[in-house]
Amino acid sequence: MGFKKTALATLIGAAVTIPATVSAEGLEWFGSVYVKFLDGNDHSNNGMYSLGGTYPSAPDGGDQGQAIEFEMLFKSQVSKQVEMGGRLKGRFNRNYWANFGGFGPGDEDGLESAQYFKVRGTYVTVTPGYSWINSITLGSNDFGQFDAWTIGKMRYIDRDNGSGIVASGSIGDIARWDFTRMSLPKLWAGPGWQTTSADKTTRGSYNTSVFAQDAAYALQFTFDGSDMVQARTVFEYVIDEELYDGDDDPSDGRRTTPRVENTVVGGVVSFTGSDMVGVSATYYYSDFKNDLNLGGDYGGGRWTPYINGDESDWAGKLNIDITDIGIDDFGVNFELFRIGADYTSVVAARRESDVLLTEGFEGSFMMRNLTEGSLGIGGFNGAAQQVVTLNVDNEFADFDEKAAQTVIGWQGITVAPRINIADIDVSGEFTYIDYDSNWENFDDQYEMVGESMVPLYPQMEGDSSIGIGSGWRSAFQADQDRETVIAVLKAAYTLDVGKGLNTGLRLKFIDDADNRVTSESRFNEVYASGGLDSLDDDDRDFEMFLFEPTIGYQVHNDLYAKLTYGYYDIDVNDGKVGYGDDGHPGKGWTAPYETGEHERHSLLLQFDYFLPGLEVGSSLQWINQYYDPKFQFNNEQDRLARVSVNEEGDTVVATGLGDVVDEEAKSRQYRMKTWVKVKF
Amino acid sequence: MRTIFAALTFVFCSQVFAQSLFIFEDVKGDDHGWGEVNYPVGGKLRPGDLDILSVEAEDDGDSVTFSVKFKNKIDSPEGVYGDDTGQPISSYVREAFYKQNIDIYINTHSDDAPYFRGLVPGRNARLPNDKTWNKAIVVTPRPAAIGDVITQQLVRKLKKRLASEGVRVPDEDSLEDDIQKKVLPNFYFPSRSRVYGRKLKFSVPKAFLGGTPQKNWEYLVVVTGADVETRGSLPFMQEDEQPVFMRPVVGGGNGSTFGGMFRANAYTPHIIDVLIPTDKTQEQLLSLADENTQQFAVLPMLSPEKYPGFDMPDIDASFRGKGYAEYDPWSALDRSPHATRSSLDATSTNSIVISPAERKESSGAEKEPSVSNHTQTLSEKALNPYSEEQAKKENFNPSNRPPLERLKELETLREEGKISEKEYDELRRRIIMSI
Repeated sequence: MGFKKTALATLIGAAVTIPATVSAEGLEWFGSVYVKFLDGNDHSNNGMYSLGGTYPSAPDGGDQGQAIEFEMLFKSQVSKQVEMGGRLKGRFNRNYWANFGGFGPGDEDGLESAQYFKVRGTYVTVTPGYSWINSITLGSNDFGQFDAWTIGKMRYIDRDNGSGIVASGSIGDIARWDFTRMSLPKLWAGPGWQTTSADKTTRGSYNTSVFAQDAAYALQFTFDGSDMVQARTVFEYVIDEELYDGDDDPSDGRRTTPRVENTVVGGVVSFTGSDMVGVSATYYYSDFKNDLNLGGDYGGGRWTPYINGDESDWAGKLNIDITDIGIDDFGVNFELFRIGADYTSVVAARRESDVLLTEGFEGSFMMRNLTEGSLGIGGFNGAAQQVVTLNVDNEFADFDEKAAQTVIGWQGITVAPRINIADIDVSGEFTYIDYDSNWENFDDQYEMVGESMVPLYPQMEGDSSIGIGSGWRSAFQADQDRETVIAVLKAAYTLDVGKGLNTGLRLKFIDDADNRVTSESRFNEVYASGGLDSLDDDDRDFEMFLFEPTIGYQVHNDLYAKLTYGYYDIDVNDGKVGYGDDGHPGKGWTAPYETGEHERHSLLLQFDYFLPGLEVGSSLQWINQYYDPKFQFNNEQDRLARVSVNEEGDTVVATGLGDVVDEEAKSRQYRMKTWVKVKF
Repeated sequence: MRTIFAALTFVFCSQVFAQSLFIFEDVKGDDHGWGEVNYPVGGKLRPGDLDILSVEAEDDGDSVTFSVKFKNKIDSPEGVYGDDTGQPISSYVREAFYKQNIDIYINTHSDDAPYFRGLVPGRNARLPNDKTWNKAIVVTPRPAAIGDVITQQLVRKLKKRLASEGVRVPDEDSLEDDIQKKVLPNFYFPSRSRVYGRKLKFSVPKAFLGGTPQKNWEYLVVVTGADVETRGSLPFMQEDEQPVFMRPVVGGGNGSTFGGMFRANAYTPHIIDVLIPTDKTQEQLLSLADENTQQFAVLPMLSPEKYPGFDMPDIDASFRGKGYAEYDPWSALDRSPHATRSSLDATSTNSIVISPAERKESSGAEKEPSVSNHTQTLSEKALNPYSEEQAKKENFNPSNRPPLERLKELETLREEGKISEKEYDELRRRIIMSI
């Protein structure tokens, strides 16, 4: 045998193993299978996501069931210069195993239940081999070449729902360029959540509304030919056109007129010439034009992801990262940031991006109403990510994902030191946030829409915007005088126990205060109908303390387990009395009463199991929450007037947000998600 | 209080004054493999993310702290999602980085066996015939999981090799056991790495290395793009091989893999950057990979005592001459990764070769391959395509034997029943193609 080994090796002059005979032509197939198991005490069968969709007839989300998602990816390198690919994906969300394959009304004719295969993500990429152009991709793309401030990630089911033309190339060895024309998503990329003046779901409107040529263009240059400096510049232009009303003669074609025009110019410059410090400056200027009279039923108003008018503004940040001052393993990161209230990029990242250094608020308190979807009181685990758009999207997501939150209007500073002492990784953060959206009466900015005056600034309350800890889409209030302080201390240490016991601790403190109306004249105007007596009465004070230890251990080579306990102590004093339909404070808009002491205990158990070719993850969480409401009475008469006993014998207090039962409320939530992924 | 102060002072001083053992620097802007490789078009990785600038080692008491510097700031996996699902990768990636794999292969010149020449399966490169390694540090975002994947790959390689040699293949469990005991202990997968801007730091126990690094220790450092998700095999790779948490070099243009105007084959190096201090050497060496002659790219090792000089690998004579050009349909194309091969010459001024006098002076002896007397187990051979006898020969080049002689020997093997008909046909084809 030894002879044979030697003989064979010398005969062929190389490895004895015979390589596979591989054909480079033809289609190559890959794929993945994703299995999800959900369980929870809400017992909701509204879909296999914690938070579903909001489009008509969309599954809201659920916490029960088992379902499987199958995806086939195909790819062919047609030649050295040409590649094509795509995906066939079985629809998900309500394809419960309990459907038993699904047949009959409701299952077979439901897109989310019947698991029809849908072609997605189809593209062609050409690499022509010219020195100045590397590649051109036609078709589906996640547009990841650009950044969150201009054209960013916008997953809505899939990351590559967007399609367009993307070209990339080089300018010698010193610079690269990227160009794109992205077809503007008619589903959401416009005022009123669409790019057309008519109902986007009605086939009859296809000839009267214009959406197919609406597009976002971007040209980006990246310069990194220097040892000292890297720079990236982006020019973005978005155009959304509608038919011009004054053109009565279609015989020479139909004129169009812009409904939305959005220009964003800016970039990032980084100084990289020092080992001691890294400096980067980000600056973007936006100009947004919005013809409110061209939107039809979607011309503007309260429920829209863009401002109701024409405005310009800038956004940016300066980051200084000191990484080496002679002390090993010590660094400190400073960040100054400002995102103007009027900064608008129509297709900026909606999620899965984090533009600021700060942890920001916790996703744990970002939730829908308990009657809508099954995210529940637990919200999304962990800190929220920050995106520079009002058009935030957290739909089709599970509780173990990070929520995205708008930071439009945020301005402030973050200091984040870190050090390793005796193998303990210690890091922290102090952030102070002021708001460019601090004003009274929307800064007196109103626009005429039809025959109505609407505020320039939309307020999307109702979309979990008035939960404790603030919501993800609401950046504006009619009257705001707000500031926020965030302090975080984290430590991580591995104990020399067994394979190493990973311990961690996160302490977090948030003080969020909003004085709302601050002038007497405005107060008398806003609260003319009564309900409040002094300027301080409508103030909001929110203080949160979080104590969160974790323990993780590699139980087995294939299995890692982690236990996280979270203790939240939150005091809220919120004098809001609801919001009227015009967006101003006043009775009428449903919002939860929050004033009081909130205490939450969360126990999160996570597993991660790995075998070559298989990945399994699991999160089980138990949440107990206690809420002791508090009330402020102006005097004894006020108390007597507002306190009563209801039919159930409970003491209730009348507030500007309805009657509130004066006793401690207890909430419990159990939720579980286990997923299995196989890629082949 | 005084005790606490003294302890803090000690910790502070040890932090400030850790002794530097060596610093190797690399050419900037060479994160393009053999020169034709482009980053994935989708922006998952950006040029500079894998551009290694330097590697430094510091004596940290009972461990050695390595510090690897990249051109770009190192990104955290926090808030990053998997390629296709909404699953945050932080649910299974517990390191402070996710884009890079860094392999450090070390020859400690120890008497401890075993020694190897191949790199992590799927990297598609190897050490020169006169170089080996006995310790490998693989820095990856999945340190707990990578051992299993490497084991699986080695089992597959070993099974194939044994089958081709007509050796009865033991069951997989015993092969796996063999590899876990004899091969895996030579790998170290650091966990709890730390990121400071552009620097990635990790510690390796001296107990693993076998002591404090010495000036004559030799190192090969390569960088590949990391893919934190486990995948099945890709058809252009070696049969049944799968990328070991690595984004492969595929060619074309794709959002997930490295591209360019070429088509990958079973010998395409998936290495994006190699720590070599001289300009263009990386490109020269990585372009040596050749599917027709089943040749992987050959990479040099650096040592502190010779740095910035190093031993340039001997270039296989089979890459020169018209015979190769006739059978390689890509050789005439200007942009072919193989086009420069025929112009390579080990004695050209582009080569960095330590003079014989310098080598003898520094080593104190005529240079011999660092292969111990340890008899390699079947598992150890899985990583090393050459037998011990071949490895011990200096300048071994199997293709130096005349083809006619090799064909005659092949006939003998067939007549004696030592190879199957299928093996005969395949080997005969390859010998003829190498003419």
